[in-house]
Parts: sequence; structure tokens; C-alpha cells
Amino acid sequence: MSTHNICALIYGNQKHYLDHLAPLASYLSVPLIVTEIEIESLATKYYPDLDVVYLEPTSMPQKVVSSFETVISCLPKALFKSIFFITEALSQKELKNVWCPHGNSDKGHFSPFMEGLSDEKWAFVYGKKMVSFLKEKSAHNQLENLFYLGNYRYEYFKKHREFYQKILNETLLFQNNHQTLLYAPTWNDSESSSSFDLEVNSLIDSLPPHWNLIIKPHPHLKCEIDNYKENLIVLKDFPPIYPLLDKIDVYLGDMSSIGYDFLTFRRPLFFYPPKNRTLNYDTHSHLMQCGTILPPSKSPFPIIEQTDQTPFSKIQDLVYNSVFETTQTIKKIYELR
Amino acid sequence: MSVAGEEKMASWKEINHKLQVVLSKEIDLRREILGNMNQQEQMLLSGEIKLIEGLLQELSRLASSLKGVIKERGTLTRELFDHLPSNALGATLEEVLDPLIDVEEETLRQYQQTKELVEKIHGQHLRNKSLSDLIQKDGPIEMNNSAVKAETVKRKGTSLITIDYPEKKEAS
Repeated sequence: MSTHNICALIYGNQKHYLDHLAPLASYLSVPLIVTEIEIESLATKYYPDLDVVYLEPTSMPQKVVSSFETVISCLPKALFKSIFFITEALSQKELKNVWCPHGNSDKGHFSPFMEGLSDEKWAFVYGKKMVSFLKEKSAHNQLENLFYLGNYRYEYFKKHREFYQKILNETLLFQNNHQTLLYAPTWNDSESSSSFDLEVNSLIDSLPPHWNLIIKPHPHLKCEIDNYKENLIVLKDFPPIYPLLDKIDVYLGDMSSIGYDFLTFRRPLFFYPPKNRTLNYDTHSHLMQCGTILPPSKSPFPIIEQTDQTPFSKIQDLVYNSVFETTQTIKKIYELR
Repeated sequence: MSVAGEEKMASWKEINHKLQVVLSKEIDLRREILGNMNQQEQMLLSGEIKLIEGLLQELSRLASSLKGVIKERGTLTRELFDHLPSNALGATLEEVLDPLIDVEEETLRQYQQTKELVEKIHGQHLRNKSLSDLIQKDGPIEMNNSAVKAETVKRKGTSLITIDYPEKKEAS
């Protein structure tokens, strides 16, 4: 068990939390507790240097309450309490829940998701942009401690680069060295953010032989593609994102937070226009200023090849620096009393 | 012009020349890719589908080289933009190069040429894909297929177009 009485937790089959909590647990040298065997298997396979502990869902609250003081999770306090409320009452002990973001997307400005954080006392944030978002949603003033993560997931990838290179050589079986486009659509949330249903067919149809395409759908997205092309890979159940981003040349997305991660590499970004949003007036679509917005239902490849990326380099610097803080304060969580 | 100004101008020219060398390589590669895809279309039409495999291998080699050249072009374009004043932020290469200055005109011309080739390559890809889909659906295109044999039907004699003007109405 952790010497700091801290653990990280993924409750239920929330695969998309894994790439956020696993590197953080590894960084802090604390165990990652999971309640699904599938997640345990993914965590063991893709995250070296990680202590993964599987606990059966019904006995998990009691074991966590008796062994830890602080739990890091991607759950807002209300959801966290619904899991631990009874055990905490019976044990006369209250856990500290430290909220960890699972991405820095431009979502949440039009739906009440972020307002749900107004009860948090402790939170991790990537940097300044997330702090101003919390302020905008009246979820900042009540915070007692805020810990800056910076780009900790990229650092984790760099530390384990060799491990990931080996895995990618086994997973990404393109028999060539062509340019590779990653299409990473988000899921159809309450803001109808996904471009997948509308665009995926014309994207695959227009894939030319001198390009490779990787489609990485959000775990919540129903994605059934009959893959009949040698230069197309549909990547499901591959949680670590930075090893993949390091390999690709161009990113294509919508409202997924992966675009912000890809800014790390300062390479070309393209976007399908978000539904129900007018970009000219939408000050919240920060990421989309860093690349080119494609016309819907048209082949993106000629546009990708013809677009001069140079004008985006400065704005990419500005946005990256506003998202990821350079000075991390992650380990201050050890001082939490 | 000051010494610093002259040095800046010399560096600007040098990057333009380097960029032209890279763009020239890119144009050659894109032409080869277009030619390769054109040959693929001929093979699809003539039913020699097995020969396409060899062309695809060649295309793969060309595409790998193109990837390297595009990266080189990106680096040089960025270097070019580093020479520009900060108010050029957000401008494209086409907007910053002056067609009236020799060295820039050549870069601009080559840059536009690559863009035209990109259009042609993707147009050719769509043609090949439609043809390939058609073959997968209906089988190989046979030489007795009426669509392949179709030619313009010649009419007998020259067609005449006559215009009948309405008769002028006499004023009553």
C-alpha cells in the first residue's frame, strides 16, 4: 500500500480515464485501483511502472476507506460521494476526493458538466486555461488546493519511449512509411460534439494510396467499420495517446481533447466543424484557431496537402502555453492534510 | 542598406533558394505519383489488374520520399517566416511572397505548381477508385463492353441550323 495514504481510482468501465490516471498514479508512486478486469488488463499491458490493484466493486469502498485518506479520481464530488457515502458513514471517516481532469477539451461551455465541480475542495488542473474555465463556471472560489499538472502525460511517455516504440511496432502494422493522418472523433455527448457519423464514410472513401489513416474512436462511440484497406487501421482499446501522437504526421478531429495534446508536437491540425456552433462568435473553440476547419463531407486530403501550416505556428505556441503550465505542483498533494 | 539589413536580405534569398530546391524535388515526386496513378487507371481499363501490384510498390517508395520532402519544406517555410515582421502573423506563403521580385516569384510559382499537382493527384485517385469499385461490383471491364467501344456517332452531311424570323407585322 502507498506510503502516502493516497490512491487513484477508476470506478466502473471508464476506459477513457485510464490514460489520465495511470500516468498520474505512476508519477506519484501510488496504486491505481480499478473495479473492472478489462481495465486492469489494459492498465497492466500499456502502463509500465504502475501498481494496478483490482478490487471487486462491492468490497472496494470498504477497502479503500480503511486503507487510504485521499483518492484521486475523475469523478466530481457528488458522484464520488454516491459510491462512498454509506461506507464513510459506517466508518466515521471522510475521504478526500481530488478531482483530476480527463482532457482539456472545449466541451462543457454549453452544458452543465463543469458546474458539477462547484463542490470540489481539491483539484488538479493542467494550467491557466483550465483555471479560467473553472472561474467562469463558478467552480473556483470554493477550492482549498489546486495542483498544476502541466503536460505530465507527455513526460510519462518520454520516460517510457522505448517501451511504447516496441508496442507500436507490433500494433501499427503499416507496411510503408507514408504520411499518416490520425482521425480521433469524440462521442455524441449532450453537446452533439461528434463528427463521426457524418464524416467517416467520405473520409475512408477518399483515402488515397499515398496516405495512411488511423481512426481512433472515443470509447463511448459506436464504431463499426469494415476495414478493407491496407492503409487504414481502426484503433480501439489502445488507451495511451502520446505514443500514437508521436508517430503521426497530421491530426484530424472535432471537439476531442486529443487535439490539445497534439499541440505538443506543433504539427498540422485539421477539424471538422462542430455541429450547432458558429465559430466566428464562439470564443470557446480555442483549439480550432490552431488549425484549419474543413468543409463538411468533402475529401480532406487535397486540403490537407495544400494547406500552408506556417501561419498556425505562433498561435499554437500561445494556446499550448495557456493550456499546459510549465511549473508542476503535483507532489504538493503529499502535503494535503 | 545597413550591414545587418544586407545580411538579412542574403539570408532571405538563401532560404528562398533552398526552398526552391525542395519544392522542385516535391514537384518531381508528385509528377511521378500522378504518372503512376495514371498508369494504374490504364491497367484497370485494360483488365491487367495483376500488374497494378508493381505500381503500388513503386507508389509506396515515392510516397515515403514525399513524406521526407514535405517535412523539409515545412522547416524551410518556418525559417522564411522567422524573417518577417510580427504583423505578418497569420499570413500564408502566397501572401508574403512578392511575384515582382525574381527570387520570390520562382518560389511562388513552384509552390502553386505543387498545389495544382495535389488537385490532379486526388482527382486521379477518385477516378481510379470509382473504376476499381465498378470492377469489384460488375467484374472486369470486358472489351465488348459497349461503354468501352462507344464512339461519337457521325452524322451524314453537315448539320444546318436555320433560324426563322417572324414575319414583320405591318402597321395597321
